Amino acid sequence: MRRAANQVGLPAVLGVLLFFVGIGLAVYFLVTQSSDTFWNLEKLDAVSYAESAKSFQGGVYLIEGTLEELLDSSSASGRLVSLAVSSSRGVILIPVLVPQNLGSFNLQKGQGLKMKTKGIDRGLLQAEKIEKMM
Amino acid sequence: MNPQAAPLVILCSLLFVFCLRAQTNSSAGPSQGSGAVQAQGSLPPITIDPSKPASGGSLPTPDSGGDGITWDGKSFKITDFRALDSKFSAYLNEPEISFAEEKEYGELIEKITDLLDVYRIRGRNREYLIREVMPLLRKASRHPRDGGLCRSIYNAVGTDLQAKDASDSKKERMKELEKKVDSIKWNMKMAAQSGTLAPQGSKAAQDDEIQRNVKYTFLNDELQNTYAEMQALAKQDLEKMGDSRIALQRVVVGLFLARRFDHVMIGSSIYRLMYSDGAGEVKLQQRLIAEAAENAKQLRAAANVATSESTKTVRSSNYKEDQKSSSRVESGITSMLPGTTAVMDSMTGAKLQIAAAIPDTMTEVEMISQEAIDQCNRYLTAVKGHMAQNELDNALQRLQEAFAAGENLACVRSFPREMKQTLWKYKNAVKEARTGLASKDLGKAKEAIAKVNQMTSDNPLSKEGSDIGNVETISAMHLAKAKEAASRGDREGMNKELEEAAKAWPQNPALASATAKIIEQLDQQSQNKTELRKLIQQKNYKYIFDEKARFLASAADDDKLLAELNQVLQSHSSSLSYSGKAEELLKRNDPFGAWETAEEGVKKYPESTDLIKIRSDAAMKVPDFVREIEKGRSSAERQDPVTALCAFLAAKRLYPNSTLAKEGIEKSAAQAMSF
Repeated sequence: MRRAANQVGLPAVLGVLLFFVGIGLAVYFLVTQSSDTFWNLEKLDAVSYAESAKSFQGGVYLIEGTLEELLDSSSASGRLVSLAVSSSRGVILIPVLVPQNLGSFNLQKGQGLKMKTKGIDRGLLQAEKIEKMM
Repeated sequence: MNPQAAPLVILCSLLFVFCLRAQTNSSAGPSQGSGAVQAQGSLPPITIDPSKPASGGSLPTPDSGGDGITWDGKSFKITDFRALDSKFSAYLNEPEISFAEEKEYGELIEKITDLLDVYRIRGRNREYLIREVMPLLRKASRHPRDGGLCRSIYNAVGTDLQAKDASDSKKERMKELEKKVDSIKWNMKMAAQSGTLAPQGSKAAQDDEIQRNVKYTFLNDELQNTYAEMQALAKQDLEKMGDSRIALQRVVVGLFLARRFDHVMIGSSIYRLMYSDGAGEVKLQQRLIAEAAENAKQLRAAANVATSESTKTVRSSNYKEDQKSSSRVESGITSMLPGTTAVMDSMTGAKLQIAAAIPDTMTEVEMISQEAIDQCNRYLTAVKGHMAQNELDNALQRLQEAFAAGENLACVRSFPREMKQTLWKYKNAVKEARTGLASKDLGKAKEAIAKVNQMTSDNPLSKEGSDIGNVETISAMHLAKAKEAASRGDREGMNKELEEAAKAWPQNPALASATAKIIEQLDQQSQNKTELRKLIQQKNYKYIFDEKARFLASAADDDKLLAELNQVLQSHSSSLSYSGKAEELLKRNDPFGAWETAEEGVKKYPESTDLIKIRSDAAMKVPDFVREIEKGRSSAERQDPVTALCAFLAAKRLYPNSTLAKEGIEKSAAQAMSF
């Protein structure tokens, strides 16, 4: 039994470890160094969202669309905008709350935007990160 | 005389005598020569001499028009008397055969009158009467149209002749009696002288004296009896002669009162021929008054009258005479009817008044009769003149007056039949119109008046014709008011107006149908109210709106229901504006806008089927939009504002002008942000 344990050498173990470390580094590199920062986010199912927004509460979603209009705004909550999102049923307008902390982001009607959103109260999508699309 | 006809005859006679006397008096005055005018007008007004005592209760007095009388507070016209009117109608409608008889009799009377002309009988005596006149009088008395008139004159003349014969035989008897008186006187003279030669104081002389005394006494008695007989004969003769004269006078006066003026002229001419007593004083007045009073008593107590008769023998020496006296005792029931007694009392007075009105002399009787005949002739001339000018009413009145004055005169009886027939037809037409007016059958009256108008140029009913138009208008006005009251549900007012309409024109043909219609309307009104309440409950506003006129009329008297109805109508009007707008949008190919408008309307007026239909039609064209709006609404209701916002945003994308979507977005957005 001892002989058997002795047969797996230290180098092998180190090799395996190095292998995993290498993979980890590669992944880290890939993540940190990539230009598309929303690549790992779930894309929002606009059709389902339009049917029942509540069920999207708590989730983080990537949403891409064109800024349609400003629906509402308040100094406390921020700006509520509608994004025209393409879906299997055509364009669907999705309301997204742009919080105050993103107040500096310049929003313009017809602008293509990519947003990292989170389903907050009653399923309202709140933008956490916004990027303009080229 | 028929007791029922008695008052009428008395009245007519009285009236006529008054009229004639008044006319006779007036013709003697300044108005003489105005006969032609009188013939065309009515008789002049008459006044009764107030100095004459009015016996037997209230007397008839002529009215101010002069063509009638007032009796017991009532006015009568000659034409008012039904009996006279029926006689006049019979006269107008006389058959051809009767007319021929009348003409024949009239010619006979004219012939007798001609024979008794005052100039013709001058210097004639009774022989002329018996030879020339009596045969014709006898012939006339046997004529079927005479009716005993000529017979009465004939008999009166006969009575006089019989009295004359009796008088002749009595004269012979008187001569015998006168001879007898002479003889008795001689015998008495002889009886007074002594016939014996025996010495005075002797027994023979005493016996002779006794015998002569007895003889003288007998002769004296016989002389007294003969004188008594002579006195009685003379008295009887005088009475008989007087009776026969009075008999003829009685006939003449009777004929005068019966207005048989032709016969009066005959009788008075015969009287003049038979008795040359100057003015021919009528001596019957007192007797007539007594008879009138007696007749009145008989009429009054005809049911129970006991007549007793007693005979008394008056003796004067050996001459005796039976004197009869009779008395009438009324007992038991005085009268079957209280009113009859009163009438008969008046009749008594009327008869007395007639007696007072009888002319004093035969000449006056003749004059009045002649005046009557002349007047009737003038009337008849006027009748012909009026008929030539187609003035039938005037013609009828003149003929009626002529008939009333002298219905039995030859000139009246022989008036042309074809003219009488024309007037008869006219009279019937007027009667029909008057009947229609009296019974307020205005339709019938109007028709009859139009007929009269066609017949004559002096329609007496033209005013009534105008009045009919007024009455029709009044009736129609009340009917309209009744309808109006019924439409207000004012049943009391309706009944009142209907009564007024019926009062004005009971036989208004529109009245029955209108009444039925109004009542039906009133019932309908009640039904309408029930229906309206039900429809309001069912919210069938469209039907209420369509029938608003009917329901408004029905609910007019119910404030609460009317308020409800007004509200319904107002809201339905608004709903109609929504539906109109929606329809217009649909026409403009804006189904989104149409749906939204209809939806807004339906929200306000959910009972509006029109709006619901339009909304449905629009929804068929924009189902996605409708779905999104509905989804947004339902999500908002479920407190899911984000989903609602998505739905409204989708809707707005489909119809950017959507008001509902905008409102939904605003509301949902605000809710979504209010966490």
